[in-house]
Amino acid sequence: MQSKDETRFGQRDMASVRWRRPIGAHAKVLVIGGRREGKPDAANRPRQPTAFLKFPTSFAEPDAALMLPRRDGRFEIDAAIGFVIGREASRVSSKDAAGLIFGYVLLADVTDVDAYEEEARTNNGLLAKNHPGLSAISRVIHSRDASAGLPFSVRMKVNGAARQSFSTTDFPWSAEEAIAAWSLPTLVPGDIVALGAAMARTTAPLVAISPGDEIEIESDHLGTIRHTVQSP
Amino acid sequence: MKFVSFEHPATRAVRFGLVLDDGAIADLQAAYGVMRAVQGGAQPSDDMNAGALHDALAFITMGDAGLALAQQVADFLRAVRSGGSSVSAPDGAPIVFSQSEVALRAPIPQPRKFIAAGKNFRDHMAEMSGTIPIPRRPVAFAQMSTTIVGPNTAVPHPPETKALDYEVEVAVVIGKPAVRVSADAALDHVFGYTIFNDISARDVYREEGRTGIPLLGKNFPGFAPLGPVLVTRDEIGSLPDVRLQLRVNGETRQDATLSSMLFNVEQLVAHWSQIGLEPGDIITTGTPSGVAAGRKADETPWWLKAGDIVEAEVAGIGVLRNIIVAGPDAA
Repeated sequence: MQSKDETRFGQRDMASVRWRRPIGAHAKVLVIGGRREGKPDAANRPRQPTAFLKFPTSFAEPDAALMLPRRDGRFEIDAAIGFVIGREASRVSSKDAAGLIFGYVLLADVTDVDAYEEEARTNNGLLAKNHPGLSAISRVIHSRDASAGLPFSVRMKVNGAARQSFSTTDFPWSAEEAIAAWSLPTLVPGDIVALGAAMARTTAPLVAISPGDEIEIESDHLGTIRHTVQSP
Repeated sequence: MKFVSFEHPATRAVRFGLVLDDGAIADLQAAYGVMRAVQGGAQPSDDMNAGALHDALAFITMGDAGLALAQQVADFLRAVRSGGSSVSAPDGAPIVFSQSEVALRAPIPQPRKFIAAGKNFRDHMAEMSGTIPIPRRPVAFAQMSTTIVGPNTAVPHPPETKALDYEVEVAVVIGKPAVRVSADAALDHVFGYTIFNDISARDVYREEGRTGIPLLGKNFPGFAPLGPVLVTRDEIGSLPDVRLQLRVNGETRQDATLSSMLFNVEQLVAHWSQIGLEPGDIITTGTPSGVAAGRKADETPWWLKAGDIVEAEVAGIGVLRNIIVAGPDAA
């Protein structure tokens, strides 16, 4: 939880603490996404928002670099906002979905484009989205009660230059609709449903990244995540 | 050796169990405690060992040391029981149960990663032909842990589908961490095997694929029956010869061996080790032909319906039996 106490906590302890990603080993992270070609809009959208599943190990530890799995190849980054689920729920309505939100995180969803194109012929980007430590997540979960709440605006910079910007109102599905839809398989505490810039109507496409790039993703009430991209 | 996860008949807690020669199930942690008490001479390692014997992931994470302990417990119980004695805890509570006394759970109730292969048998590719190209690399989707159920349990038929299907598969359980391992070394990272019935809502899956990414069609609650037992690697014999069968209400629908896999177990483990595999993670083999989705338009449909009994059988492991029941009402 982030609060006024964070400064005091920081003065006392921050330097001696080794931060870990705030996500359990069994959590599922569902990033609403679709085909790279043709974004749905609110007027003409499928009933079910489709999603990529990211395993917790796909997220780097907060102080680590984002590790590309190989020296060559194409990789792209997408800023996202994640809604952390606070209680177990199945088949909730979008009206009730807001009540499931425990808090918020920022995410950097990195895709291995070569693997994605290979997998897109037949399946769902499981390898493309799950290289260990290639994506990023906030070090802090901002609890709903300590936040201004929806909507949020999120911005991404690469090497200091603004590359993506979106608001949670820019999606064909609201956060509540996305959570409700993905409660069909059952959501459990610690799971995350996320909306990424690629699906927002306002944003440019995914952003290519290379070794040495400095990534910054920020939102007014959710802080900033910063990582460097590294190659093996 | 064969292992199970089971619900303790008295406490209702999920426990990790060792299957004994006669099919009885020993509570591994409790049996270890009795064995150490009988042997005497408490060791500093006793508590740590006992702490890891109560659940599947903790046990598998112990690696060869865990298997050695389980073997000691098996030998101890064999010696005691062959003398006609029953074995119980110091407070008299039983530590060995008959199969009928306990409800089995999925042997790995909650893996960290569960990667289910698709499109991996040549004959299954043929029956689904026209809809999918032959993959050049292993194909899989993520199975969420909320889909896992054990043997002899109900699988709810979701109201969102009119095309509920089955798929018998072998589930490969990772024993040692595997990151970018070669196919040659892959089996060293395998703990053992169990049976997976990959239940699918084919129409939901296809609709997702039409507009985006298929995932939900494989992930309704109950869509991943696992079990009944987890057998160690040495029990399965030659992998290509392993026979898989699936029956619906006693009628055989699938019958094949692992020999016609497009990517074999070693290649699958090597490929998915790129995302980093941990003890207890599951990689499945994919399924052979005979699924309901492979039926032609002029044939009687084989979609599963409430009341159907589905039995997935793998030689050397056993039979995984589940019943389809009516699901919740549509929202």
